[in-house]
Amino acid sequence: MSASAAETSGRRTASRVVQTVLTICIVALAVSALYISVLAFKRQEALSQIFRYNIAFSASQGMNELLRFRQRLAGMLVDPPQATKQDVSLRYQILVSRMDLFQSGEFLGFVTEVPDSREAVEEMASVVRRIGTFIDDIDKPENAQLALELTEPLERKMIALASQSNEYGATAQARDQRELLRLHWIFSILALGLVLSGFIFVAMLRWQHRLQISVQRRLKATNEDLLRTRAELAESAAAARRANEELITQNLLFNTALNNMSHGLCMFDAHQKLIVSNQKMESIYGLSSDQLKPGLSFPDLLDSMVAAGAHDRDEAERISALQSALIRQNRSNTLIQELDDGRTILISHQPMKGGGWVATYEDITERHKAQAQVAYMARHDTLTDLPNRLMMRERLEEILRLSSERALSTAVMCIDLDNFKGINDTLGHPAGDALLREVARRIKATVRETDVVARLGGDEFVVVQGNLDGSDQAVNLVKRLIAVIDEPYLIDGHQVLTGASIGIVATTGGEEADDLLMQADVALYQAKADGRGVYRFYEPDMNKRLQRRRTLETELRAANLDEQFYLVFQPIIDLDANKVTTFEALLRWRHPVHGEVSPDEFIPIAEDTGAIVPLGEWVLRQVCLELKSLPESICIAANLSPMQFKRDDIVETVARVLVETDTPAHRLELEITETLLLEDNRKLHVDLKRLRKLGSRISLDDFGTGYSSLSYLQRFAFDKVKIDRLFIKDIAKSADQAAIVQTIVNLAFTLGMTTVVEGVETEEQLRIIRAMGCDEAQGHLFSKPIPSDAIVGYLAEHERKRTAA
Amino acid sequence: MSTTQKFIRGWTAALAALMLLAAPVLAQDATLPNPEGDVILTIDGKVGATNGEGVADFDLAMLENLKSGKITTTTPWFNGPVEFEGVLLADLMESVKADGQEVVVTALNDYQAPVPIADFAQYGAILAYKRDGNYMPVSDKGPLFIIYPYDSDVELSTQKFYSRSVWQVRRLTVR
Repeated sequence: MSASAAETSGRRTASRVVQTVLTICIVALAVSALYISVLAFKRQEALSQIFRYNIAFSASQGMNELLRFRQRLAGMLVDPPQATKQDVSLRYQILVSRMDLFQSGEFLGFVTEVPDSREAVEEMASVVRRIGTFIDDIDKPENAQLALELTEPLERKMIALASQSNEYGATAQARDQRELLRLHWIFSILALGLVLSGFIFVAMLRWQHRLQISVQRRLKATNEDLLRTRAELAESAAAARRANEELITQNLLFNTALNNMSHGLCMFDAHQKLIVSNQKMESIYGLSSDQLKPGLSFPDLLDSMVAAGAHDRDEAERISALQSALIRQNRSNTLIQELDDGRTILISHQPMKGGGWVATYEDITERHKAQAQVAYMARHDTLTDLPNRLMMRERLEEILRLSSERALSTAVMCIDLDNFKGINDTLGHPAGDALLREVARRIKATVRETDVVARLGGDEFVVVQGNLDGSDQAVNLVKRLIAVIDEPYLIDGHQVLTGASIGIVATTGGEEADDLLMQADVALYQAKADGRGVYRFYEPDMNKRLQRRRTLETELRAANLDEQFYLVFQPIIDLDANKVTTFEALLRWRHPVHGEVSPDEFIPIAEDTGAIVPLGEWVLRQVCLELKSLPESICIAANLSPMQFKRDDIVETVARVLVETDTPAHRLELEITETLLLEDNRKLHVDLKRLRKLGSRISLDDFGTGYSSLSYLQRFAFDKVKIDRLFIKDIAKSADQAAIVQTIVNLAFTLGMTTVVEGVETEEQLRIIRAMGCDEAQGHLFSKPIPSDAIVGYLAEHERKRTAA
Repeated sequence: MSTTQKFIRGWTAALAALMLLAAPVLAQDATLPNPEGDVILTIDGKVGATNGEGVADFDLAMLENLKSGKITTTTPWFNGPVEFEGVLLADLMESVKADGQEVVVTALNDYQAPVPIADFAQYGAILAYKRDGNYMPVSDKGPLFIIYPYDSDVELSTQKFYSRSVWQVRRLTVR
């Protein structure tokens, strides 16, 4: 590259030199030509000078004229005269003329130059002048002779003059020749120079031509290069165009992507001037596209946000301060910005190389809400919107801490709905849910603002009361709660009744939340065991009870019924005939380890766990077997638990047992507890009908203790009504009780049902109820429950007594 | 007879014939008067108009009667421009009915120079008899001087024409 460049510069210098030389040549030529022409002119002049007045000729002419004059003179003197005076005079005149010529013009110049000639001319002129004095008298011989004498030396002088003039002329000529020669030389040299210049010129031209050819070649090469380059350029232009199109497309895509982002985006340069922004920014902050022109400064952006009403000045300054710190420290971070309309914006600030930064703006309101919602949901029960276990636990700990700080009490209550499962089964889950919601509402309405009501799942609720002076407040609340929950509910057009069992524990602090919850739970357990619809305070030994219950549950499930269970029978006496009509079979459990377990204890457990079903079946079987060893007129009444109806097809079981034991159905009485009737159940209705169809009789046990309405008596056709012992306890003293019993007796009688009074213990009671018209009675007065092997003995005894009386 | 004699005889005959032919012409030539003063110019040779034996003599008056011209020019013989007055040579030739190409001019000192007649018309040369208004004596290159207008043409300022510029003119011979 450098070689050709040097070449090029060399060539350029060469051509410049050539040009200079050519110019010089041309100038030289011109000058030469001019000079030559000038010289030629001069030469011409010189030449003309040469041909000018010929001095030598003039001198020789003068010589000739002198001779002719002398000749005439001499001729005049000769005898006879050969010439006339006129001739002589004429010749003299001619001579005078010649003298004049000698003394003027060119001749004078010559004369002046050559001293000898001057002298000669002067002498001649003086002679001529002298002769002129007597020329008029020249015909006188003496004058003629004188003239001849005077003019005689002139001949020689004239000759000398002639030769001098000749020499002068020759010299002048020679000089001129030399001059001419000089000019010729100069001319020749110039001509030569011209020729040389011509040659050089030609040579230059040739060289130039060569150069030009080479230049041309180079040009051609360059041209080809250019063409190639042009093609390449065209290609690159096309490529550039393509790239440009791609760029445009990319740009378009970028723009589309940018403007379809779910986040707003702002990119600033190192001078805090906006470079890029997208449309989302406008929609987030309510700005117009004019306000987001590139070149916008960061403070101006915040100002326009404030102006658009997105947020107030304080918020703008807060964000500005935070973001400015990030800009200064060149850190990336996220900021949360709260807008005035409640939206939350997540600003993600990311510094860029070169000093600028890019920030994305994400509307996380929904996410926030969702998160808040999730957080809420994580802490709240979805159905009732009450706090859930997690939140309750937190609040509990908090309340414990606060209360203990102030040396006040905290009460924890576990609330459980009685027979919720039953409601759920009969009315369906939607109804159950609606019930729960209503219960939750009622509980919440009952407690204080600061109290915590939570639902732990199922039908379990927890209430935490803090800042209590003493447990009285708690007790009041509990009572109120039970009462409130007890109120009837209207669910899907059905009237639903439920109650609550509540376990409560109070503390002044120093206890763990978990412990408290457990204690409340234990207390609840006790409440449930104690018959439901009650509250129980935790007592330390409840734990024991819970433990026991747990143990019993296990035992019950695992128990070999034949080994551990047995029946005892309590007779029911017909008051009129004073005969034993029925024995009520009562289940007893003798546990090898725990000993006798009261049916009050294990029956509920069995019902809860479902062990009641096999247990119930076993009881029925035992009863049927027992019937075989009893007189035909004696029936046995077995208690049926509502669980048996729920969990089993009791009718089928009863039927099967009767068939298997080959027992007539009428000898079996089935006692249904009143609470079963709370379930307004079609199935129940049908089952009872089927049982009756089998032939067994149905008794309504514990009548009056529950929620049974009188319409039940009509709806479900019972054979017997067993009046609970409660009603005759103070029958002797309480007129009200008496009235009630009487009413029941009358009602039952009207409906064709037998009345049985339970728990007769005194004669007076017997007398009264007999007077009322009760049909049968049962109680310690007659006999307490006896084992099967004692039945026969009893019957005999009773018969004896009867017949004796 | 020798060839020369034959030649002379032939020519004389031709000349006689010519003169016979020309006689009426010659005889008719009454425009050329005889000179009354001193003859200062003689024109001979091939001339048509004569007043002598094949010659035409002129005196000053006759010349002055012919068409004259003035030439003011510088000359090699005089200092500064000089005014010459004289008869136009072209007219002079015409007046003698010169029938030739050339004129041999003879001066008083027998200097001779041939001058083409064409010069006279071409250059308007004059045969001057006055210089600066004065007649020229023989001692001052008179009486007649052939003058060309040297200043009018650079070509005339050369020896060629200087040699034709005869002074002290005595005779013009047309041939």
